[in-house]
Amino acid sequence: MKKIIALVLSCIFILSMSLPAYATESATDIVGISGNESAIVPFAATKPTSSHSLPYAMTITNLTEQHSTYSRYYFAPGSTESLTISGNLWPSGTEDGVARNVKILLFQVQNDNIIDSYTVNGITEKQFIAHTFTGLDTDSHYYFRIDNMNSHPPYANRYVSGSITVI
Amino acid sequence: MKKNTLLLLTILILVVCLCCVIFHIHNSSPSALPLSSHQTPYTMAVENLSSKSGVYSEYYFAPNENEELQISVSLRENGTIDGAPRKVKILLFQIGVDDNIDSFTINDFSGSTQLSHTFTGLEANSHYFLRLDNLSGSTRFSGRLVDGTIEIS
Repeated sequence: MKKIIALVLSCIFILSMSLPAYATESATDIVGISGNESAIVPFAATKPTSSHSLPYAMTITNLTEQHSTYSRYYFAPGSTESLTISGNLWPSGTEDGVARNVKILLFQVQNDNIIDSYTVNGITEKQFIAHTFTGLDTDSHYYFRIDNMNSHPPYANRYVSGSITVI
Repeated sequence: MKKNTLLLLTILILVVCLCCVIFHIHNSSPSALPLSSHQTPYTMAVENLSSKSGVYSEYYFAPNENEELQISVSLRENGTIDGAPRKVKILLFQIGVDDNIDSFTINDFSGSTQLSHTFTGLEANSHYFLRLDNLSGSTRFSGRLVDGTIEIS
């Protein structure tokens, strides 16, 4: 009887080892990012499907808590092998004086892994931001995802808005 | 009786494990997705592409000024030459879109074949890549391999 139980347990163990292999085959979900970011729900649910020349100005309007939005286009880094973002972010929604926290993530097309990221914490008023993502592949293309990292209390809307130019 | 039960369970476990392995092989992903662009014309070469397998182009491409991508395909059978025809499907993907947006199938060729095809109505500012699927045979182990080149312009 013990041998039978041992065999059944072995079977369960072997099968459980096989399961992740199947899971990787369909791992194309853009929401499936590990760590704390798994709670972020893309506001613009689709990744960009076309490119745009630089500079390009993108606007973010009332990005809700724990949501994110993709840039509408993807961009070529050009000969500088870099992409620079420059602009302003500001709190919108409820004016409760609570700082907003934003994370800007860089993705390479066809690659769901985050290439790089830039976090801006403590946005209480219109705040200038500038950051350069370096070491990029000149023949590749990249796009951004902007996450509103704030939690959503029942009594306030801690949105984020902004205007960012990609150079 | 106990020994028979044990033997039966062992066989059952082995069968289940074997099924899992076969299922995994049959559902293996094609090669990795392309991460960078290349100017056209570009020729991709395929060697010994197994049955029930696919391979992506190494690069992605911008459509030409007519918003299309032309491909000149040259394929030949390899591996087991048993008179069984080869079947190949060429799929077109757009950057940022999970499913293929277009495809065409080359049915039942023996020896070698050459043909051209134009994917039209593409977006000028987008980029596209190809996947070549060998649909010959019923399993990956049939030995009905495919070689060839695809020139993209």
